[in-house]
Amino acid sequence: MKRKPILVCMLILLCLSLPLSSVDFGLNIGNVSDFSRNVQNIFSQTNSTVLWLNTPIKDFSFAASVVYKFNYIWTSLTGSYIKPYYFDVGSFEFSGFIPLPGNTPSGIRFAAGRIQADDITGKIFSTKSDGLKVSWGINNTTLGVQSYYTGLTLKSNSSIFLSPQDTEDIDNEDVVFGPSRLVYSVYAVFQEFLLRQNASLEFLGQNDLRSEASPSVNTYYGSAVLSGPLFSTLRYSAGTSFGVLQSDNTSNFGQLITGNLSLRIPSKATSLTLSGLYTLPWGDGNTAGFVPVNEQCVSVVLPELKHDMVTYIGFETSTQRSSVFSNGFKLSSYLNKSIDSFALPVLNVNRPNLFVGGELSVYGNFLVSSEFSFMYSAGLFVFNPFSVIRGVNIIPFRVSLSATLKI
Amino acid sequence: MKTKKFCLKTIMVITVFISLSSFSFAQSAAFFTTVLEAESVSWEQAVYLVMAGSERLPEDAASNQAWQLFTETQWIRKIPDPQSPIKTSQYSRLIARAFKVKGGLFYTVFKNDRYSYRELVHKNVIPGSMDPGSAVKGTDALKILDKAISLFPVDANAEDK
Repeated sequence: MKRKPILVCMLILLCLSLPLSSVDFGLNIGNVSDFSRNVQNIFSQTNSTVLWLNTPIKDFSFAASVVYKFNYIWTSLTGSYIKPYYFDVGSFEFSGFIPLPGNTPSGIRFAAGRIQADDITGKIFSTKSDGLKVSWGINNTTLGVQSYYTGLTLKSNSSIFLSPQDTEDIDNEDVVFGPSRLVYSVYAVFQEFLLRQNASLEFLGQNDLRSEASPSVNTYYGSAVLSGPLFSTLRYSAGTSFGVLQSDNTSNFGQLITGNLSLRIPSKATSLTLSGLYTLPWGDGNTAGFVPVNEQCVSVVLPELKHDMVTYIGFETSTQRSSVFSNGFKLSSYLNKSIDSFALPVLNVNRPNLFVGGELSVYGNFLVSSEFSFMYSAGLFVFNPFSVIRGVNIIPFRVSLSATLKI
Repeated sequence: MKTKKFCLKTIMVITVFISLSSFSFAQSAAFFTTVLEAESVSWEQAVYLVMAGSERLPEDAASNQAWQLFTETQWIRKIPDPQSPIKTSQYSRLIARAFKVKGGLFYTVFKNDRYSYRELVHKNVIPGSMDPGSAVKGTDALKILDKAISLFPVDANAEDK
C-alpha cells in the first residue's frame, strides 16, 4: 500500500515531462549476478529496468529516471527470499549555468532535485540526495553552497546510520524512507592558486530533524584538501577532516586523513594509484571516533567494512587500451580501527589496531556494442590468522557479473 | 575586440581546411565561412559536407548536385526542406549512412536517427553531451565530420544497405 504514493509521484513526473520538446529517452535493462562466500554463502540476482529521459529547457537541462528492481537472494543459512516490485526515482535533476556580465569570466552553476551530493573529500557525504547545489565561479575560484534532505530516499537505498533510531528503522515495516536529516555545506575551491596546486575548504553540517528521535545525533565537519600535479603525469591529493558528533549533550571528536598518489602512463594507457585512509578519535574514552554522515564500503569482498572502521592502504592499476575495454586490479590492506563483531563476526575484537587482512580484486568493463555492455568484478580476502577467532579458517571471496542492455 | 574575433575566425577556417584536407581544397572558402558562422546548419549544407567528406561527390561538385545525390539514396523516406535546420540525431544518420558505419543490433535493424546518434556517441564521433534533438552548430558539424573521416575509411566499392 505504501508504494502507491511513490508510483503516483513517478507517473506525475513522467506526465509532466512529456510536453517538453526534444525529449531523449530510453530504457536500460540490467542484470547483476553476485556470489559471495564469507561466514555463509550468498547468491544475489538483481534485475533492473531504468526508464530515463533528458531534455534541454532553453539553456538549462532536465534529466529524470525511474527505477524498477527485482531482487532474489539465497543464503546458505536462511534460505531464499524475493524482493519484488521495488520502484524508485533514480534521478530528477534540473541544472544549468548562468553566465554573469562583466569583463571577468564568472557565472553561477546550479543543480536541483535528486542529484549526486558530494563533500570535498568524498568520504563524509557521498550519495544521491534531494536538494540544491549552487556555486559561483569567478576566475579560478568557486564558492558554493549545497543543502540536502535525506528523508525522501527509500530506506533500502539510504546509507545513513548515525543514531540507534536509524538502525531500528531498518526492520520497522511502517518506515518507508530513510532518516529525516538535513545536510548542508559551504565550500570554496581555489584552482591553481599556487604552482598549479588546488585547495578546497568546506564546512559541512548534519542535523536530525526528528523531534521524537532520542537521542538525536548531529554532526559537523571542517575539511581541507590539497591537490595538483607533482609533475606532468604524477598527481596527488591530500585531505583532512575534523568531525564532531553531538548526542545527548556529549561531543565526540575525530579526524580523517586521506591521501592519494596517481601516476598516469599514457604510452600504456595505464594509471597507477596509491591511496590511503586513516581515522583517529580525539580524547580519552572516545569510542565513536570519526563518524561520517553516510557509510561507504572500502572492500569489494566484505561490504561490511566501512571506511570509518579501518585504516586502509591500497594500490590500484587500471588500463584502458581501447574505447571498448577497460580493466584493472587492486591490492588493499586493512588495519582494524573499530570493527565490531556485528560487522565481522569472525574477527577477534579484543585485538584492535591489528592487520585484519589483505584483498586482491580485479574488474573489467567491456562495451560490446552501443547498446550492450558487460562488467565483471572478483575479489579474494585473506585474513591475518592472528586477527580472527581461533579455529576460524575462511577465505572470503566474491564474484559479480553484470550486463546492461540499452534500448 | 573585432580584430580578435577576425583572428579567431581565420585560425578556425585554416584549422578546418587542414583537418578536412581530403576534400577541402575543392570547396569554396565562402562556404566554409558560412558553415563555421552558422548557429544551425541547414540540411543542404550538411548534405553537401557529408557527401563531399565521404567522397561520394567529385571535388568540383556544387551543392545542388549533393542534394540531388542525397534524394536518390533514399536514406530518408520523407525528404526534408533543404533550408530547414538539421538536428544532431539527423546529422548522425547522414554521417552513419554516408560512411557506411557498422554498429550494434538496434542500429543495424532500424538505421534511424535515434540509433545512429547512439552509435556515433558510442564510437566517440559525437560527444555524449550533445543533445540529439538540438540544431547542429557549424563548428560542431565540421568537428564531427572530421572525426568521422579519420575513423571510417571510405570504401567506394562497398554497397549501401
